[in-house]
Amino acid sequence: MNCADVRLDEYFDGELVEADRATVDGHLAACDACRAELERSRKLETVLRKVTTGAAPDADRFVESVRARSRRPSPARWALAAAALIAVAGLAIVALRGPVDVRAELVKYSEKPATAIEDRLRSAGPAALRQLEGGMDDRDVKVQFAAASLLFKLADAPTRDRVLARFQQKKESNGGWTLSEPGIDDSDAEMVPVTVSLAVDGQNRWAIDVLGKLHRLNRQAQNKIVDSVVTLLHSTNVDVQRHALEIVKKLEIDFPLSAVVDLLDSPELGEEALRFLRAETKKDFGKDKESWRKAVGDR
Amino acid sequence: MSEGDAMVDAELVLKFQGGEESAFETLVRKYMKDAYSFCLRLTHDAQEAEELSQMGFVNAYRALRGFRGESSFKSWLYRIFINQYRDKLRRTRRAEARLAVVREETERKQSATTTEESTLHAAELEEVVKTRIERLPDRQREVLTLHLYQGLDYREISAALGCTYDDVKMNLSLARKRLKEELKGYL
Repeated sequence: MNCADVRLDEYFDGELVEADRATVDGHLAACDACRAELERSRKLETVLRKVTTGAAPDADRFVESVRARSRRPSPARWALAAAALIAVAGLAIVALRGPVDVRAELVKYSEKPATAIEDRLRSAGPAALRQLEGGMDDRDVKVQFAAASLLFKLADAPTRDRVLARFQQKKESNGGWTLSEPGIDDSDAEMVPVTVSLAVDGQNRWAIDVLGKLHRLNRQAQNKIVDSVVTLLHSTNVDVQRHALEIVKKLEIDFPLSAVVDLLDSPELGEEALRFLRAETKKDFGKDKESWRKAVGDR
Repeated sequence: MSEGDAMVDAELVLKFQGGEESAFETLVRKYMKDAYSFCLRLTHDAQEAEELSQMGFVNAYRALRGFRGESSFKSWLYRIFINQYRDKLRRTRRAEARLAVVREETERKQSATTTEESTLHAAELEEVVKTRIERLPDRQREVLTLHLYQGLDYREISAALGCTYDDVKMNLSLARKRLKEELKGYL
């Protein structure tokens, strides 16, 4: 037998049947080179096995976490959340009066994003949006984020593209954008709506990565992501809804499927929502929303 | 993996598919350490490993009702972890590119100290070996890790990775050949 024909790795790994093992044994008895090679495999294995891993996580905690993440939150909780959001939006519209100090609103939004602020700025028209673009160059990074976020929510598509291009430019030139390492502390949760706004563009993989990290590291952020995406799914803008659905598909987040059931009526997104629900639940009720709600409620 | 072990898994899967939720928990407890160490060997990050392994089980939970036993549960489970890991890799390509720079630097430092190899401490040796494994092409690293550290045989690996028996054999052989060369100072 030629050395090249010897199945030394399979021999070493115990993959050969008895007859083939015997053949290799016969060759090894007569071949110094193959014996040396086998010995090197043994030594390599010894060295490789020196690489250890740390202790595994606590089993009970691990199992509990898997259990919690395997079950979706009850639809009732999401219905309440959605109702709360709608109520906040309603109050904001009522409060929407008088001239708007864009810079002041921007600072407030950078501290705590709120639908009321978005509505006030939306009502202020194109002049406010132009001022918001100026906010992208603010000295305060949080204000820059707030400006980008608001522009994504309020401006038309070409403006959003322009903002995204500037955003990428700033990020790549390392010009003060600090979201590259999210999840270090709870303050990151405040940036979630901003990042969701960027991710809603649907093209910004980076923003989706950020959301993934936030989701992993920060429970508060996780709740905010879900809340933001639910809000976006209920948008009146079909593009925003479409992108929100994309986010739902791309992120590994426990998501209230009832929010997707609501999309079944949409002429543009109904089919896509149906495909998503089928894939998620392995069930099919067509466009029958009531049956879907019942099914989703069972989860 | 013994046949008896595979039978136990198959029974647990059937119980779960029949509505017995606790059967899944038994499977999680049985495989969580293996899953975690596998993910840790791929990611080298405890937090990511825990996240990947947990999400792997979550996905397994969601998909298990449709599992038809065409491969062993263990291979099927590893396939989920591998897919999770690959998906994560795709999503973090840019971060990976940055990591590659760090790796290059580590490697340069390591080659500068090759003359003192015999005096390396165990921890340093472990670091060198880890880096060499990390630098293997993806498929070779996956095959080696599944075989050496997770104890899967060639057929189980081929089921887990969705490739042929010969692919496993070839990749394992290439990985060994390369590591023998790169680690010859330690063999």
